[in-house]
Amino acid sequence: MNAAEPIVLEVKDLRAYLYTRWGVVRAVDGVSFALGEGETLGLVGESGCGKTMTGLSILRLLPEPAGRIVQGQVLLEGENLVTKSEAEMRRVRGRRISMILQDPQTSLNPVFTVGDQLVEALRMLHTDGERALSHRAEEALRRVKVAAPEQRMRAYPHQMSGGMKQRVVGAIAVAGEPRVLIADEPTTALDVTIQLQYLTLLKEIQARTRLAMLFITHDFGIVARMCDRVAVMYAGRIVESGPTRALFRNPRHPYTEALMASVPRMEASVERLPSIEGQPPPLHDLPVGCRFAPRCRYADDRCRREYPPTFPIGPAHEAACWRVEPSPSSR
Amino acid sequence: MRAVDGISFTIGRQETFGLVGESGCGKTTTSRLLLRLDRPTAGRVLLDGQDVHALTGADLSKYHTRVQAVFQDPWSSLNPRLRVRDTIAEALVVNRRVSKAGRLERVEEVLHQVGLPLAAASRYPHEFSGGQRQRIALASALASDPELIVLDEPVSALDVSIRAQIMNLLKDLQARQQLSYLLVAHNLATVRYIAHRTAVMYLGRIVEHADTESLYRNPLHPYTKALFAAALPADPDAPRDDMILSGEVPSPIEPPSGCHFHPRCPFAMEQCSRVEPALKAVAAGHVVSCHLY
Repeated sequence: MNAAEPIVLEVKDLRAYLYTRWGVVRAVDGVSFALGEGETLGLVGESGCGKTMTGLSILRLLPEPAGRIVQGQVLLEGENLVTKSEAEMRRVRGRRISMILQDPQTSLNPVFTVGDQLVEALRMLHTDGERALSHRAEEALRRVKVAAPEQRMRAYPHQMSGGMKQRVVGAIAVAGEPRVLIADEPTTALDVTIQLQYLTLLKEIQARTRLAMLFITHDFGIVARMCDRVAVMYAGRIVESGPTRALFRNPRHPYTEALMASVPRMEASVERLPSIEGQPPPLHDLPVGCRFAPRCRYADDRCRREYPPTFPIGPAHEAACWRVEPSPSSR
Repeated sequence: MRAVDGISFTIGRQETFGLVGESGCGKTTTSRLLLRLDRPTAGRVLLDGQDVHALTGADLSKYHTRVQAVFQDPWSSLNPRLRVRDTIAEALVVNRRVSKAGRLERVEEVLHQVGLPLAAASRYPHEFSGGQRQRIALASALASDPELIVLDEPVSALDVSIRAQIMNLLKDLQARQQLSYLLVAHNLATVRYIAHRTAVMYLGRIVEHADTESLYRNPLHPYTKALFAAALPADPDAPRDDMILSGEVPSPIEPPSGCHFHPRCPFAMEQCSRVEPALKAVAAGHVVSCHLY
């Protein structure tokens, strides 16, 4: 992390479990990270690794009644959100932390106009009259570069393209001038040229407002473009984290290394991609030792027995793997 | 609406032809025309010289064994109430007169080809992960011993770590069985990895078409350039020659005049709004439809 930036959000040993009829799903199982002002942290992993659950836990929006935060702290500017009441959390969501989800279709209400929905969101934040709120809404649309905002105010979501709808979602998310924005795969449903427009817009908003961004994605291209730092999640835990360049140049956890190698490149032709065999373990039935061990080509007995602690590798770069344990090693 | 508007291409034996473009460009409609799921208003789809939309009777049954498809979503493309063995055997019952013993033997053969254990045969789709389901879909496509498989976004619904497994399997099967593929995908890196030749579509037309290597090394059409520039390389030090297109893809119901791309093109000239550029060969096997060339 940029040591110079004040920390806005800090997550400490967060554990969020889902209690289901198949057993306890340990979706988030000891996750820690910090996020500085104006900084973007990429949370990378495959479906079911717990990255979305981490985002939802921060906002205390876990699916009820199955989901529960069982341990850990979420510190927003030093205040622990885990112990707050629901009423207190309502004053946090949208004002201090906002979230953008993958599918704008599900974030917007199909039976209200875009203007109504923006005004509704703004009414929670301002005590203005209707006229003034409507002006604010138009201004919010203009800031996310929606063309002809005064006409768009009267449009229903289905009359807009996916990219335009996601801009409206973005406008609602940043209307309350939050300190933290959690973006959960916000461009997965968009075409590539529209994706680039949207990512550029998020960067512009961040430059203007000094937002701290937690960017949840599985796309290394987006990480390379958007993130200052990266945390790689596997089976409920962060296995490696570090500055983006360090992680791309020198991935040290076997999972990070294998995952990066298995992604086809746009800029180079490859005869054969090394693939990772097998699949991630089910989160209700995790192996005892390192969770990646069953798929790891370096795994030995110790890996299968004991989950490795996090070892430092370089400046702000660390990994949870026995192979990076500083010497003297027991091997 | 002209979903696909006057396109021509060929696919050779043991060749992969990639079609790329954004939503609404007509790439899926093209694959549906090949599969006889849609009929063309004009033009023909020829399989070894035979018009596939004119086939009847025995020739048509033969066509259905020769051309198969694998779709994006392995969750919706398999019948949840059929055991894997029956899903695969269905392709044989419909297409060929094979004895029951022969069917079972074939099921075991194709399961082996796609790297699934024989025990998979008696299980149901919900017992499998996404990657395994895509293997099952591939096994049932292979059952009738086809020559051409249409792959419509075959890996985009799969997890990152599973994609390479399936892409490598597709390559291996092609080499072993001389398969031809039509690959429809929006992920440019996937297409570069699998396709031998690639065409870029925009609003129903092919705007550029070349050997995959030549296209990726030297994209010529301004839309291809913008599309490639928008695909973010997985490298924080990659040069950022951003060419951010303004606006969005116009409606195919009322496409712009002349070159469909001209309202968004940074190089648009006066004639671009009037005259549709013809496809012009600029190098061996590299054709582009743009007035700049």
